[in-house]
Amino acid sequence: MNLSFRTNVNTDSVRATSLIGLRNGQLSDLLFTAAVWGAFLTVTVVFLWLVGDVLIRGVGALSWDFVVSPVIDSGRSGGIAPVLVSTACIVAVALAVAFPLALASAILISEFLPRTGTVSRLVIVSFDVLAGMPSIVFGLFGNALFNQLLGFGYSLLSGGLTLACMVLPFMIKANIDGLRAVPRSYREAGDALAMSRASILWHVLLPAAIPGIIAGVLLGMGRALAETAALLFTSGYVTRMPESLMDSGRTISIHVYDLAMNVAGGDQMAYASALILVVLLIIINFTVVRLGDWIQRCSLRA
Amino acid sequence: MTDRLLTWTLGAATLVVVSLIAVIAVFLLNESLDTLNRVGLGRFFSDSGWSPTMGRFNILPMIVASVLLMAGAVIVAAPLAVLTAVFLRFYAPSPVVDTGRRIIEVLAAMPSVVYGLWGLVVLVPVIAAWQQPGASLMAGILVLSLMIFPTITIVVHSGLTAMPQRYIEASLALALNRAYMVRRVVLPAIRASIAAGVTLGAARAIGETMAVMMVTGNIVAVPGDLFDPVRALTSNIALEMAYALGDHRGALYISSLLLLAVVILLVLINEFIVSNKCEY
Amino acid sequence: MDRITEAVTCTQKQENTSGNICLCTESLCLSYGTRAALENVSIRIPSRSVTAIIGPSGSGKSSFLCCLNRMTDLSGSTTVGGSVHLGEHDIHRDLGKNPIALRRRVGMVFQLPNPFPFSIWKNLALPLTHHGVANKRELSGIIEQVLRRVGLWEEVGGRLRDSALTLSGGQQQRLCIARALVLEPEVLLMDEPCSSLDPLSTKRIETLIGQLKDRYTIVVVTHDLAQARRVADHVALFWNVDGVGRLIEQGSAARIFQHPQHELTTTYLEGQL
Ligand SMILES: Nc1ncnc2c1ncn2[C@@H]1O[C@H](COP(=O)(O)OP(=O)(O)OP(=O)(O)O)[C@@H](O)[C@H]1O
Ligand SMILES: [Mg+2]
Repeated sequence: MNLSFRTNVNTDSVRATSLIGLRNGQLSDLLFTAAVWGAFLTVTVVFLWLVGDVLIRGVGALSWDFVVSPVIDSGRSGGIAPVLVSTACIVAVALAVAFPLALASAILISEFLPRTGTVSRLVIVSFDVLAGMPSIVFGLFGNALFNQLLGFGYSLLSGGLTLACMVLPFMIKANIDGLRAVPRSYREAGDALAMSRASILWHVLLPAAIPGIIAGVLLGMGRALAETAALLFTSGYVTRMPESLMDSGRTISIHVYDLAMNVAGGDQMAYASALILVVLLIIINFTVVRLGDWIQRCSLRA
Repeated sequence: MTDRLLTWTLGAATLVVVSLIAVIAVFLLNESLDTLNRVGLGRFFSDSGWSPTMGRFNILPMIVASVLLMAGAVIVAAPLAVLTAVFLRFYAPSPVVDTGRRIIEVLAAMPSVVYGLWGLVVLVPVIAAWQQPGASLMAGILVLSLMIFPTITIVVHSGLTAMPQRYIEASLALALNRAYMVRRVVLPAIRASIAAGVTLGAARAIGETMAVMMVTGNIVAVPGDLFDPVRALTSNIALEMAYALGDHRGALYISSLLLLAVVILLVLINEFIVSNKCEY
Repeated sequence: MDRITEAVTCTQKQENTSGNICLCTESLCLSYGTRAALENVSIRIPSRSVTAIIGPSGSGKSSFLCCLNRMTDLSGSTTVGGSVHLGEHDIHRDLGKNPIALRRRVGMVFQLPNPFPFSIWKNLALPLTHHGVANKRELSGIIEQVLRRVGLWEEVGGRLRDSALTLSGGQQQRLCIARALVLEPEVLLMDEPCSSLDPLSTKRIETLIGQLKDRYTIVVVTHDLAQARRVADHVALFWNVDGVGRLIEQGSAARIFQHPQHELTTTYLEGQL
């Protein structure tokens, strides 16, 4: 072993250059600190600009009347009552269809399939593709399948079914997270009591996974509320109060889009509707995030 | 007995979900096939322009626009997102961390129409005051980058939180300053998360319809510069689907297949990155 | 309680102060948030020798090491009282706001090997380039020498571009020691450097410590009393008194092992022999 440590290197060179190095280092440290603060401040300013804009322009036209009146003059006056009803119907259809499918798939994946097996990886990849698919593509698919092939036409039903396909991967993922957060010991305790898989699931796992399941439903609701492009050619544009699921109707997102793009002088009302939409989404999203944090803390404790 | 039934039910439900992607692909393909046979794939790239009612099907300008929008959005959003995530993890005083998290959450929750509305009413006039006409590639890139920013930030930030504390301790013990530590140790160590965030953001950008349609002016042409109006592939579908018939409709379905292919590619890349991520 | 304080002052008076004192602390206190972890630690660490810190788990040994290179700054809620002198400088007052300059002089090796997830080369080059060595030839020279010094050159010299995570635990730990050495610190702090290693790797590192002590001041925390006997010139015993870490006794290794003065020292040494 070479015991003459660093004989042919000028030892002092490290220390000497390091003095310069340190000064350089401090300068670049300063620049980098400025950069990260700059990035954050930029984001904050744009955020305030965006949110402030929606808030300030939206609040002016907002009133109880606005919520309960019919749409008049393409939305330039009146309110958004039928739009809210259509939105509720579409979201309800989407969730009613997606929820059981999502929960069942989540249970199969988290409880019955090996976690790292090829099958579950393939399944997960297919969900990722589904989650990343552009919403307009869902719209075309929904139009071809529900509107035309199944003959539902432009209707709340077609829109809701299309959205169900769209929100599925997000709901499944939230449900899987919820189920996986349930401590392993619960399952083992159930097995030790010689309970069947079905009754362990029903009496032990599902109750314990309720936060994750709620998070999944809320997430799906948020996605559905925010969606526009997938509905343009499935649920349609109609502003009348829907009488059945087979009627066409527009969601609040489409209403915002239509007022902004196609109705001259509709900006004010677009902002008012956007404000309602944004407030709903922020509430939903915050609940989901808090539930997620909570689930994670529970699973860490377990 | 009940267990068998249960497994079958669950299996059936999962099969429905998993086959959905195939069903979607089949439907899109089915709607495109006639047109593909009649018109041929080549003409979608070589025709003299896009006027499908008169039998001209060149979608190249829109592909170019979509790619430019995606690339521009990623170029603007990715550095901003990485810096913001680093800020929240290493630089922000603790009350600011919470505020920062809320801001990212709210931005992530905003629906695309609201971004579009803001872009149309606020941003486009600002750009127009600087360079006519305002509704342009530039406006699209800015709005899109704002939309994918929270996506990338969240992925990168979770990569930062998952990175073991011992790398930070080691850096400090080696007398590295904070900037050097972040640039040379932390960011290289989480490069997989950054790549994953960027592919996710890119997928979102290329698939975005509403916000892009509302701010880019929607003129079918290859843009000469950043301030020219463009029409993205997605906007084209949304704008023309309502009245499209025959080969026109088929052409729109073909462009949707193209979008689907790009997204599948991005998701697979993302999957590859994530599954090859070193487990520290 | 009083008895202990008495004993501490008593051992301090008796401490022979031959040789240069490299590091010394005066009534050092440390608390994590509101919980005190160290109280009234006054220690003298002679230069160019090995000082072993021994004591039961939770007695504040690691916390003490972290005070010496201000790793305690890492978390915002820790507060440090008293003073730490490195040579003439008070590391809080004189080295002021810049712990970087301090850590440049006081290197640290951790209990678990913590190489960066990069190549072996990059692990060693990173601190050097940061501190201003840009010349590739010079880098290679230094890297080869530190690797020879820790006995890794023969083992990994041919695959410097491989990820450091592909090394075995013992190799990783020696790489971490090499990484701490490239900056030529004056003091090397080692927190249980062998606790995750096999006997052979442990032996290598002990030999290495023996070789390093004529250039560096080494402070090593260890649970292994036999190891302390083998490598240490000086020994300090920490003890957890009412939930707070205290320095019970310090002195030359020979004296502590042969004539421990404090009954806790006797108990601890006997308990483990
Ligand atoms: N980061 C921290 N935050 C809060 N308390 C801490 C922290 N680090 C250590 N402590 C507490 O300080 C006390 C001393 O811990 P320390 O790690 O210094 O002990 P130690 O002597 O090194 O023990 P061991 O031999 O097990 O490594 C312990 O009670 C521990 O719980
Ligand atoms: Mg310790």
